[in-house]
Amino acid sequence: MKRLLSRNRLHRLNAGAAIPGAVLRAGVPIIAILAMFVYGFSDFALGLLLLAATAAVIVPRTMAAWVVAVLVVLAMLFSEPDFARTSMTVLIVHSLHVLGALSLVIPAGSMVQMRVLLPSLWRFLGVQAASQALVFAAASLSAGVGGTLPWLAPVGTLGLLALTVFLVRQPRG
Amino acid sequence: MSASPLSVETAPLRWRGTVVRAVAAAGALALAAVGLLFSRPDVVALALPLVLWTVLAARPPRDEAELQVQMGAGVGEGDDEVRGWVEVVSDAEVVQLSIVQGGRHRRTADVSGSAGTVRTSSRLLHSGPNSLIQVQARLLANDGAWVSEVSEGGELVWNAAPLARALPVLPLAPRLRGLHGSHEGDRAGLGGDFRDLHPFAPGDELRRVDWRATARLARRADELFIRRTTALSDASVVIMVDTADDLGQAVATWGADEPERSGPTSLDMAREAARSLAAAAIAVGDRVALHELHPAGRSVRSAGGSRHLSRILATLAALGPRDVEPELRRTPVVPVGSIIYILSTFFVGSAANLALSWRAAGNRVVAVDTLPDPDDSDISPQRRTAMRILLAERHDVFRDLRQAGVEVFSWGADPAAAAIALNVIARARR
Repeated sequence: MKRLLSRNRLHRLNAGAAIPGAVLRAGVPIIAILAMFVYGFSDFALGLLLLAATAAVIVPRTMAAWVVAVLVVLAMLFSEPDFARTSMTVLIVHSLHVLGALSLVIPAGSMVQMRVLLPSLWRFLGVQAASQALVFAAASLSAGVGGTLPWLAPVGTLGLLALTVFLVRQPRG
Repeated sequence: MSASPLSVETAPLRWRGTVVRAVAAAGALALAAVGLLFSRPDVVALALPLVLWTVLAARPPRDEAELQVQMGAGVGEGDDEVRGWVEVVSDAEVVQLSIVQGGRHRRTADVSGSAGTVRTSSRLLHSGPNSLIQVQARLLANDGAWVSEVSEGGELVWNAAPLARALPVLPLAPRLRGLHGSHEGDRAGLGGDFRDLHPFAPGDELRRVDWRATARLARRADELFIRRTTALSDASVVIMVDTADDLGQAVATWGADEPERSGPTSLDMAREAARSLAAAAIAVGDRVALHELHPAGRSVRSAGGSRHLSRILATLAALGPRDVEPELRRTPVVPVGSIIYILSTFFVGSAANLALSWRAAGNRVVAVDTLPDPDDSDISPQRRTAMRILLAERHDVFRDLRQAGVEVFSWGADPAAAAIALNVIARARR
């Protein structure tokens, strides 16, 4: 009889409060579906988006999560600037990057303790808070002058460069 | 039965950056460039989270990471369940554990670096040493932007004690020794039944004088007769376990390492038989020695008592299969006049040769066949023919042993059949 015992009945592993690593991968298509609601994709672009999202779940090494991000940025380029959409896209691109990065190192079958995701979550929220605040400030500035401000692009780029240099030169605690 | 807790303290692990840092940096650069090109500040804004993430993930938390993995196990519910635990302590955010259970089932768990714990549960199908948990680990930091090298592995082995069968009667050794057993010998002494009437001699106790016999038998006035009883003595039992083979009930798994399909194996049978024989012998006050038939094999010296039985049990639980050439086997020294049980499948001739040599030296030798009843389903006709030839050769070996005076019985899966066979051997006069 014991020969008939299945593998699962013979050996069990319990990591406490945990989720399968596949849940992290499943986050990519969920974000892609969110992007579909934010931007109107053509049928071809939609097909590419779903294909890339599926590839990101099945074979994360293809780095298809970043392909999804590129498609979202292209959709943004071909649409009119809008504060709400920009804010959503900042969230979408950042989420795709974090989920893609985690999917590369965490196997789908792995049991991921919920505590493990807390540092990533705090980092994500911190970065989003800073980014969304800046997007909101830029949108408020544009609304104040009653239109878009093309000069914000070079100013923003320079600001990013300055921010990067400043943060990189900060000593790590 | 037990496993010593294991602590694996690895050398500091070096960090290695992954490709996602470069992807984030390149992405941020591309977004800023596209935004600049199309005069789209909203596109430039997309680069901000990537820049912040890249800066946060630019360096690992420390140059080298510490990792300590501790493992332990204890008895779970039921005789065959063992519960284990793996605990990690590290200064990294995430410790990715690759855990192999039962030597073949690999699972991965990502746990917190600050005292993350994983619990395991395994149902053991075999007695003896079982690979319970094998662990390797690597560290992750900053959303997978940094991974460490893989740590050295650790393995927790659980030595499962065999079960025991109740054996009411054991064959007796040809020569009894000592004054502590429960077997009646030929010598005069204390503890046994009436032996004879004997003239009083200096040193005899006065309370042993039989006055009626003296009145009846004495020919002189100063002649006294005492009642003598037989002495209770112990026998010397030697158990030899042949660890060269570990063949399962399923013939299809012979030569393959498939413990989950094999069914009970010959070493399971041997451990169970050895424990049962040792327990039954020690229960009647005999001295028991245990030897593993291997040049580097374990041995437990001849002794008696419950603590000695515990030593034997611990040794049996640690007995695993060994690869050995027949000519490398040593011949353990056995006390003269012992009863020797040789537990083997007798596929390799050396166990039979040892049985014959010990029998020729005057010991009582019992060959215990530990091969489980073979299940030859799922094998090809060619393998079935080969198996029958092997079993026929073994049959010849047993015939030769019987002709030389070695008693043979099969431990088998049926406890009643084995007990009856042992009873028949015990009643045979030697």
